Amino acid sequence: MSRTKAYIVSADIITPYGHGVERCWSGLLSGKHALKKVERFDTRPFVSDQAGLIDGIEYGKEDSLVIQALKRLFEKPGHGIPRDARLIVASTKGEIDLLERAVAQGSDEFNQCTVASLLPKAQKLVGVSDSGYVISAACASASAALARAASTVTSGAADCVVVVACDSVSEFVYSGFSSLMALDRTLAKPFDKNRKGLTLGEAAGYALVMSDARARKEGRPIMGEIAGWGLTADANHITGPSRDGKPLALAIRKAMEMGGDGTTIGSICAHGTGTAFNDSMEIKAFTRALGQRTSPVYSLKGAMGHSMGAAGLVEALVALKSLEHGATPPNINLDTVDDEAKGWAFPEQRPFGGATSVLSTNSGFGGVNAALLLSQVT
Amino acid sequence: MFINGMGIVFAGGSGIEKFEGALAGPWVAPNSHNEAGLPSYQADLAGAGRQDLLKKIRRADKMSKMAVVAAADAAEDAGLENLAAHRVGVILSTAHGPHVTTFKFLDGIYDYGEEEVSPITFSNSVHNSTCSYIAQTMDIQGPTLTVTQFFHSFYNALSLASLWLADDRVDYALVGGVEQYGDVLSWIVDQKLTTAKDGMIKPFNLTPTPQVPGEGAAFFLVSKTAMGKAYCQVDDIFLGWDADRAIKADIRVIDSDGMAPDESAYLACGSSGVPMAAYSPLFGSMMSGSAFNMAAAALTLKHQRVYPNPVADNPHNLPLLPKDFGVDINRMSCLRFDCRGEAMGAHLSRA
Repeated sequence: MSRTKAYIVSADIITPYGHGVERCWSGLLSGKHALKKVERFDTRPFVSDQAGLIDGIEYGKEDSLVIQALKRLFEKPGHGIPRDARLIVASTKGEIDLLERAVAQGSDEFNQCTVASLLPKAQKLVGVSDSGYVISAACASASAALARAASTVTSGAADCVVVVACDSVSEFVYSGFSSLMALDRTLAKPFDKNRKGLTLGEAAGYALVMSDARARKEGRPIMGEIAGWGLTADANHITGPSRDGKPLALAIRKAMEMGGDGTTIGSICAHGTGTAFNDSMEIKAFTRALGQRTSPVYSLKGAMGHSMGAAGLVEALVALKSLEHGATPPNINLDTVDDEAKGWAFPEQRPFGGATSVLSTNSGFGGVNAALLLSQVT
Repeated sequence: MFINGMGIVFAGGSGIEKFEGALAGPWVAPNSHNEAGLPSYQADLAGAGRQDLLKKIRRADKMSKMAVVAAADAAEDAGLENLAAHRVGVILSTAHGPHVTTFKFLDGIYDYGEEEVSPITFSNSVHNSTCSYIAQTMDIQGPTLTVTQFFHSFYNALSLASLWLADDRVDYALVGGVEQYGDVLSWIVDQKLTTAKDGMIKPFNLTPTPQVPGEGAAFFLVSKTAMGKAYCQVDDIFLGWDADRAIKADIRVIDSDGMAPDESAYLACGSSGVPMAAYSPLFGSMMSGSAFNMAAAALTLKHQRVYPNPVADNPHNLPLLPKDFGVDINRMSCLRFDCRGEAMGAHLSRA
């Protein structure tokens, strides 16, 4: 009997480019970034004032920023998520803006704005019966959640899982990354020789992961297969990634092993934050895992900022889009390719013909790595 | 899946011997009261071993320190050394995560301004930082994940560990639950739930159960095969519970601790006649307290020793575990209901 496969059968996102995967893809292909000045809080104390922000979501509303974004995804009819889908939420700080407000106002609504309290709200919005759980793996949360969804389906524990991912630009996270001196004073330039740090961003989205049998039975359109996944830890430092890239390479190898012999990688949607250490570590990892078989590497974070726990979901969907088109999006803000990244990263869009799979990788705070192998389904 | 090692940090101290001593001993009153007079069970790491590890992570918050000590103890208890040489994964479950540190960082913003906030505090406020400290101190390069949920986070984490082992992703998994006490949390639960003003959680009162916040960490080293000192086998992790279809167990350990406003769902457990135990009065009310109760069940199976209910008030005439339970204990059931009456739990059997 053949192994059960995990297909992504529907998905939607809201990013700084707007609503929808198509809008995100066309925004990327335009070569123009979607970063802008932050107005929702005072940025004067920080080293930067730029971020990738979703239009129309605001501080001070009854709903948190992430719930405002998620409502746009789920309040329109026809998202087609079955009620029996298992629920996994990926987020690093959830409704942290509500907590900021509760503390500032001395409110007792702390229990309404913890990471766990996001679950019943997401459950209600999505319309599933499962109360779900939150996967936290810092900025690899969404890719780890997609891996968990895929393993749930392939193991037969469930035949349908919805992954909801969201994070927002709040004063809390902006203060935190600024205090870590991790923000670029101008704009993030992943894989650039002159990169100085990241630019924060926000996004929300979902992906419905279904078994091949159920997807076919229900006549679902198939966007792609989560054909392999690998998760590893650096065991290095709470804020600094591995210096040699071995743990990420291990995660990539594991994901590729699952794809089986003959897997060809067309491109790599990298974490690519724009910090000196992250980007260097990633190129080392790609070199370790793929050797001379270079595949074009791109990052979305120069275009949209770093949406933390949501990044992995947006990136997986863009990676599938790139597979569909046989070309990467451009590396926006990449001007002078870093010596280490030469042959891997390119400023412009790069075609890659003939490949049936792509990689999407994330490496989060605390040294957590996730690699997804995404494949075409014929 | 077998439980081969355990590590526990709780109000009664650090280590399995301390925990077993607490299970065997009489109920002990909460060791702390805050300014409002609200009781709590708080862990004291000063007396914990592992000062070498604690020194390595001196900048970590208390949540991470408790978890690192418990995880290291679990690996040592199982006899697993040099973790870098093995395929080990870490799964941490929590309901509230680093909430104390999150508040501390927010307070820093308001008290000192954004320019003066601590990058270390921000790092520690990230929800998976505890997992990362475990990986860092124990040199673990396998998968690490944090599972957050109010009531069933531990059983979901255990289920994931089982899947990783079945998928051959890891040979060993360190899976555990951790919660940190905070005055804000104490105040909130006092507002929303029924506080045991006398400090005594009465886990069989159920309508409601009075709560006393606790804190601590309980970790398990699990693998597909039994190692030399295996405590027990985890036969299955179940979702949903039905008295008529429940597998017959010799003892049922329930997680009632007052963290849900109404815990009357546990009353149905009494109809089967299976003796019931609940140990929350020893470590306090914690949404991931399931890990501590499962540790008690694992000790019971391994040592074939009955640990009597520390607080045996029984207004509903439930079949409580007798002190002189004189039969072999082959199978135990651990169970937690959430606030909607949905159950998750695990069946354990002798190794």
